[in-house]
Amino acid sequence: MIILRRKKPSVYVVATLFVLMLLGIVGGVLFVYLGLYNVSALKQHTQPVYAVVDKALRASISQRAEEINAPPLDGFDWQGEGLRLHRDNCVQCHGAPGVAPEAFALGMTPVPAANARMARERSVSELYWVINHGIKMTGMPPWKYRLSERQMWSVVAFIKQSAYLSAEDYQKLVASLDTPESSGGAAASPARASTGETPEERGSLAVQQYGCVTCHAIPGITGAAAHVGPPLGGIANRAFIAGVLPNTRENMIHWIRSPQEIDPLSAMPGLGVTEEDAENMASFLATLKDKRP
Amino acid sequence: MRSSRALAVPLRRLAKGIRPVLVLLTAATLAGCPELDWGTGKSEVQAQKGAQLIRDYGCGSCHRIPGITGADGLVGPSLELIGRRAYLGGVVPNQPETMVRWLMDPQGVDPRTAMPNLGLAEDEARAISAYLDTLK
Ligand code: HEC
Ligand code: HEC
Ligand code: HEC
Repeated sequence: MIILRRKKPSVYVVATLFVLMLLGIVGGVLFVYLGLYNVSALKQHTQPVYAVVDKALRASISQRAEEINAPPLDGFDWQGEGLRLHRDNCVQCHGAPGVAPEAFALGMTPVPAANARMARERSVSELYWVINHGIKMTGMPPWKYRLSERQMWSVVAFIKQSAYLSAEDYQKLVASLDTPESSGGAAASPARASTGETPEERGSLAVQQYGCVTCHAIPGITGAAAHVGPPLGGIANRAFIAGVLPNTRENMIHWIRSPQEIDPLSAMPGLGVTEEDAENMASFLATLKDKRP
Repeated sequence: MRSSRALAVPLRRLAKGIRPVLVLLTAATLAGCPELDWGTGKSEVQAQKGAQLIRDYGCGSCHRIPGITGADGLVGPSLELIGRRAYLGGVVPNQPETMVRWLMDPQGVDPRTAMPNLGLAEDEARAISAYLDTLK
């Protein structure tokens, strides 16, 4: 070491850095050309990749939204135009109070945020910016050439107001529209999410594929950090399901398949879950034991 | 909570050390601006009162509640990050007013719910709501 230090240590530092850089580039090129990263939408990104992408997305939106001057929203007809446009263009992917997105949307990666979540967590300008521009590589379309500026603000006004609507209120409002045909709703054709070795693994995959992550914080599932419904950590030890039903396996399967049959007022929508997938989900949820602090 | 106790000693020492500096600084600032917000506004006092009421009413026997020692019940959902929850009881949108209504009369909000009516007075419900609102 002493000899080395006399011979200009900086040379070794530079050489080491150079070799590392070269390895990095070669590694990166191999990673890309050998197709090592899995683009299957059946699995969420790995946790580190998800964290970076999610951070970048949020920062990008909030930076750009700062430049928007939001008009006062009282001037927009959220109960009429806003509600109608939202129902006809957005519910299919984002849902509404008590209404599930369409089956295809539940399988998207990233899965579209639950309406209730964006209503509470996004500012008015952020909502407007995203609606106007869309988000690359997510499936969120830009509406700039499809809706007028006023229409987009009406949709923003509706989304903001929807944070104050229960499932029941929403149904009443939709019924009061002059074009009250139903849209959205539970999945028409049953999906199947049954790859995986054990019922627990299949259940954990199904929880991603049915969009449960858009509303619940679920330990061990990448990206599941929403607080529309209660967090599911410790659900295995919880005495009641949704505060109304004793927590047994049968009841859990029933709840997952048709929440409104159990509590007609519930804001959790039926998601068209098949019996088999619901069984697997129940097995997975049974592993979420309470950790005493 | 345990960690905050462990922190208390070094923090107190630190506080002692910088007290003279603080006194000088405060005197200098006070001269310039008469109204200073020390962060102990009404809502914080309310929240502290709420925390005490949560202990008195034993909400912790049914709920896990951050910041309340021994509150680790599993009958109702965990109240961790309840300030962010979109719906209360899964039914009404979570707003300060609906929280007060929920706490005073859960069955009035959702007739089927297993959360009992604990006979809270309105000011008690407001204080508890102020505390729960800090969990986000
Ligand atoms: C084809 C499905 C689809 C449709 C239709 C759609 N979105 Fe999206 N939306 C997405 C996806 C995917 C994302 C990105 C994932 C995410 O962050 O939610 C997204 C993101 C968003 C976000 C940002 C969410 C956040 O907080 O991260 C907003 C706001 C939004 N959409 C509003 C709308 C509105 C309003 C409409 C109707 C005018 C609409 N979307 C229609 C799929 C869709
Ligand atoms: C006997 C058990 C019990 C006691 C005591 C109790 N709760 Fe509850 N609580 C429940 C149950 C069960 C639910 C779920 C209700 C539902 O979803 O319908 C609930 C739900 C809640 C919710 C809504 C949570 C959510 O995720 O929607 C809040 C807030 C709440 N309780 C606060 C309190 C407070 C504050 C006290 C004390 C004053 C208290 N609870 C005492 C059983 C109890
Ligand atoms: C649109 C948002 C939304 C989606 C999507 C959603 N949930 Fe829920 N979930 C809720 C709400 C709100 C509640 C509270 C319901 C109540 O108390 O009536 C809830 C309650 C629950 C509960 C009971 C929690 C407790 O503490 O008692 C379980 C379990 C649950 N959901 C599982 C699921 C599963 C599994 C999926 C996917 C198939 C799913 N949820 C999808 C909103 C949602």
